[in-house]
Amino acid sequence: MTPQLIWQSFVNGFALGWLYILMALGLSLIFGITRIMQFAHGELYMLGGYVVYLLTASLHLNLFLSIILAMVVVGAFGLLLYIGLFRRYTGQMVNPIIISVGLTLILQSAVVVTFGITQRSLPRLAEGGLSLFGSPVPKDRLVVVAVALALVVALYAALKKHRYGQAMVASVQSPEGAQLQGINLKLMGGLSMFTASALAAAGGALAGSVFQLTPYMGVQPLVKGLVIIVLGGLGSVPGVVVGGIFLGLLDGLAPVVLGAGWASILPLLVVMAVLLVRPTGLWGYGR
Amino acid sequence: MALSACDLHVHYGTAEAVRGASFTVEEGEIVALLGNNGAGKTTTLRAISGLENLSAGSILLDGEPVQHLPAHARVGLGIGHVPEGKNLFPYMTVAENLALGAFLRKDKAGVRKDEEELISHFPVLGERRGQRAWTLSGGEQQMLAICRALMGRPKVLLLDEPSLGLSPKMVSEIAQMISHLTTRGMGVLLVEQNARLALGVSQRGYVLERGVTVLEGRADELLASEHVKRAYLGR
Repeated sequence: MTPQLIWQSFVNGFALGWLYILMALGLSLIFGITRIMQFAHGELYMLGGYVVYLLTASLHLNLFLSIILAMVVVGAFGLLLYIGLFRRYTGQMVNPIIISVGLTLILQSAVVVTFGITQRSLPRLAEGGLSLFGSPVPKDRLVVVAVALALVVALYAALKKHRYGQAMVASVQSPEGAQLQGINLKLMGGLSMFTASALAAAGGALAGSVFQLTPYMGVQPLVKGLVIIVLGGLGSVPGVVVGGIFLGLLDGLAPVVLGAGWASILPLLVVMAVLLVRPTGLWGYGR
Repeated sequence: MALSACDLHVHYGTAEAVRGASFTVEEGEIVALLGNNGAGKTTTLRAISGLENLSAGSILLDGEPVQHLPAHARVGLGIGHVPEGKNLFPYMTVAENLALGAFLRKDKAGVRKDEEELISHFPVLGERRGQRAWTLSGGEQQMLAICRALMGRPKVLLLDEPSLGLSPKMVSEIAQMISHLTTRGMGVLLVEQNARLALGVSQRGYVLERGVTVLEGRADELLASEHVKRAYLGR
């Protein structure tokens, strides 16, 4: 365990944390408005990576343009899933869970059938590295953080300032109150599915470029996303950001510092500890 | 006639909470809906705004049926509702809550003017503009909830127990405010446990018993009625 290895793990973990943040914000938005736990959200993340793969490998489009297009395509796909599958079960507990778990398997299998089970790779986000605090940092990790940060800031600003963003926040905080101001909850549900799916697609595309592209790459980020929501509390963007970075660093550093065994159970232990002390999460509000 | 409800029926599962409520609210009129706990007053208001589905009956707003429309669409046609429990957006600021009250309005200048006017009536909302709604006292929250509904410029305002938990001073401020707004043509349907207060500010009233409107009349007639006195005025 050399200082270089720890530094590298720190940088990787930090970048990973931002991918988790993109997942968690989406899950939180969907759940907040529709009360649906979208267990197939990880597969939309994965699809984001594969759409970028198609666009860059087959159509030879620029990587960043491809990521933007993938966000739109996967966002629209998420919206279709909402309209076609989830919307009719608004307010129900069990059916959306069954549907989203089933979707997980269907989408994974579909990608296995189409692209094969082997890993694919995307073009690099950036080549080479630079020096930060006297230590080397790969540029592509910085691009991941920059892109994710830009998306988070844009989402935060939209929720804070835009009329429809405010309507989404209102729908989370009081669905009936929102309806009584003329806000269409189903429209907000669709908007949240589109936005969240687009964010997941961006995360998957970034991950596919920095790490690798596999049909099962969405499973871990989904679990982390759920953990972050619990940690940071539903409905709090700052809470999700802090929780995401924390979990990413834990993921990056724990295997190196404590070994692989601890690395897999530590996040869940932390969640249990946090919930014992603060049942509504670190920042969240109860409901 | 601004609002006309005819033979409303609402079921919760197999239980019928409202089974034959009929009433009208004219433009600029305050109408009280009296009744004991469990008489179906809150359910009746929720059915009018669309938060509950009707199993039978019709609701006309300016003569047009609205009972088939979802709640959010009724808001656009002019039904404002301050429900029991207020349903504020607790982690949004006072200003954000008020702005959302005008969610469907496009006339920005008019919205700003209305907000200024409401704040001049209730200065405390101006002082607390940047504060989150949950930090307000119960009375301030009730004020905010009413003002948020008024920001939508409803033709008919449904008020559910606005006096609940308020100081007498605040109650009279809100009563004044509402009377003032009816001079512009807004109709008010007021649900109150406090029958004396409700009949004091309203022109007409209805008595709801076990989901049925059993009595109607001018406020002074109801105040004088033996039945109302015995059942609701504690005499």
